[in-house]
Amino acid sequence: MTVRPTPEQVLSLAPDPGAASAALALANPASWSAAGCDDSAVWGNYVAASAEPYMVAVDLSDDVAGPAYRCNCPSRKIPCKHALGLLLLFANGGVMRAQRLPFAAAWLQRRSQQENAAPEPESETPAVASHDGGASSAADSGALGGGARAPRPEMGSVDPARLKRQLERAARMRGGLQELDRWLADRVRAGLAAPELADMATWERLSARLVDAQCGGLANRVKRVAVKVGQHARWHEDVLEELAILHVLAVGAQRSSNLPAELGEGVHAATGLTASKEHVLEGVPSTTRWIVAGESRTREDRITVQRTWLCDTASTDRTTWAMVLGFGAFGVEVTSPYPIGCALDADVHWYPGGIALRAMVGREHSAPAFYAPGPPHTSIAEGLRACGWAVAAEPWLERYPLCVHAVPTPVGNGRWVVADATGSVPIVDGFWRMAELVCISAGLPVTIMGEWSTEGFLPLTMWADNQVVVL
Amino acid sequence: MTAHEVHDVPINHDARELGASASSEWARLVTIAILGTDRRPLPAAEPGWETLTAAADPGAELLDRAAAVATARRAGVQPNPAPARIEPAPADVRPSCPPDAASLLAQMLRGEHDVLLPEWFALCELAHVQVAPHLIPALLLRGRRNPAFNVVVRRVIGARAAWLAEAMPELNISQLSGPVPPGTAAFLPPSPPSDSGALVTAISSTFYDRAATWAAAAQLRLAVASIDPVWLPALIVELQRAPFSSVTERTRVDLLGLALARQQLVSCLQPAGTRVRLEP
Repeated sequence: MTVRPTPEQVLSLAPDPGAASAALALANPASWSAAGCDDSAVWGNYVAASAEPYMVAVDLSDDVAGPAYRCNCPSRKIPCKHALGLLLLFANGGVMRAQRLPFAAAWLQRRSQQENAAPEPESETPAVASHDGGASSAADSGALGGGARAPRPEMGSVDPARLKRQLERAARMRGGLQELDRWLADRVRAGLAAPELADMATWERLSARLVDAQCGGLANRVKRVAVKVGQHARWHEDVLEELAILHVLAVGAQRSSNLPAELGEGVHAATGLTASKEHVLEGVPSTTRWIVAGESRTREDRITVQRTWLCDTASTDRTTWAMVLGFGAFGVEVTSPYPIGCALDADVHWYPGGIALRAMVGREHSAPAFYAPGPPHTSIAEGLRACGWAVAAEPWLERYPLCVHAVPTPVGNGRWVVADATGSVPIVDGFWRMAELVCISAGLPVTIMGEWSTEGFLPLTMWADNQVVVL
Repeated sequence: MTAHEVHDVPINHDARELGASASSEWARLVTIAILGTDRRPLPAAEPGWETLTAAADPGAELLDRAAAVATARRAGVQPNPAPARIEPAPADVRPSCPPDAASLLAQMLRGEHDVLLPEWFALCELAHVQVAPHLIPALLLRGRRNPAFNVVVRRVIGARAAWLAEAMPELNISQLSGPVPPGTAAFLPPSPPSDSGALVTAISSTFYDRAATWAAAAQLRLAVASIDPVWLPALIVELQRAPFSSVTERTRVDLLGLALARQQLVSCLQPAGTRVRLEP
């Protein structure tokens, strides 16, 4: 056990008097979160005025060379005022024994590895779990999963700067996820009727915090939940569902190393850790004739997200869908990659995840050409069953493609459904091309491709009289 | 395991009971969530909905349980019973209109070269083809505030208009907007001038005189819409070689586009056998 230093000893480590006086101000338990110590180290998150906490750790194990410091603040002083402040807090007895925070554990582990490696260069890096994923996503997932699963060294060595970046990102995400989960539990403890839930600022703050934690996928999701508050009389149910799904993601992402590999990848994709393009293109493609079945766009906070749905024309028993995402920002408008209703022979590479849906088109073997028959369609019951299976595999899934041969039918009050012999599915509120859909169908079955979500069916494209109409 | 591979898992026989209890379990969880677990303690879960590990925080516990029920409810999506079918629209025996004509009409409805709209409908009626069904709602909605247009459009659309009005009362297109008020211009293509060749010369000379300013464009457009279609190729050539001038260029491009659109319209909706060739 390392002897706890006295405050005077700590101050003597300061590189200059300014740092010492600054450190005195920081040695305040209120400015630290998750501070902890064990026999050889102290660590904690300095909750500064800025959005992201500084992650500070001090290694006290080396009695000869003195302590080693780690802080992700921009200061170039060693030790910086945050490390000194943490040590002062420790010296004053303000730090409790605790489990190592993941960033600290990773940093200390690397330090001990370096120490061990110095006298014995051929020793294997310990605690390297094998992982079949590719470079960046595997490293991220391992670190996010609790630090025990370090990335597989590439060619026997890990680029330390890259590993550091990845670990830092993982730690940031972890912080964000923990905060999200705490926030979610607080909402449910206080009740959904509490006034702060109706305040947009509450959600904006959380979303901003998640953006800082580099959980972009969750930040956008939180904003979409915020819109549902007070939307109709039974909004509490919708919001509770969404909060529960967010909870699943927050908990799942923190434990992703314990999940089956594909599920873990799905969790990562939903939280905002996506596989790199190169990694996806390395995968084995599905090469067949794909029909471009539909396209939908949504706006997410200054970014336009475009989903292009490709559908396998060759499949006989069940349809294979692929979703190609495109993004547009101000000044860089999103463009349609292929004309809708066309078919082309191409390699489609899948992103990792529990269900193969998001994909990227690799090599094209033929030019897109108009394909009159349209995509293969299923009955409504069968199509919804496929949606159900997909949701069961990835509960956070927000939409799933559905292509049916059905009649648009009114159910009164200006509300419409599409119906066939097996049943009906409601069309989402606010679908503004309903009149066109009805007029083309003329009360007879037509092939309609669209997106199913919990709100209903959003028609995107329809085929009638050997013509394709984009809705 | 992908979503599709799970298909073969044998379904638990208790699934039906579980499905019934999902609704009551969900209703309880929603009630507690609205009040908050601080005020209302969480009761034990219904059989089948217990969590594997109890969370320390009652809020997290509720979210764990809600997530399981919510996922089950979403994944168990079932089609609603099919409502009564609507009566199909009376069959339209006319051939559907050529795709080029449909895209021209869509362009005009967006406001581009809409001076040709009366001619489009006149030709459509002559050629005895259907109006593209995906454009019918837009036409009928436009007709709500333009009685002369409405009369012609409904005549050309045929029975589908009345059918749509009945099927979708929310569009509010059921009423014919009454008789056309006297004094309104009839929705007809402009009558051709007695000498279209002279009009083509007159149009092209406005470019040499630099009189074809943007202010004069409306009148020129009407002239282009009115000439005998056999003179359109000649007009297009004249417009293509009209001299450049900063004051007339905008009008020239606009008229050229209009003339080309009109030529395309005439060629794709001209009934076969009625094409007239200009004598050399």
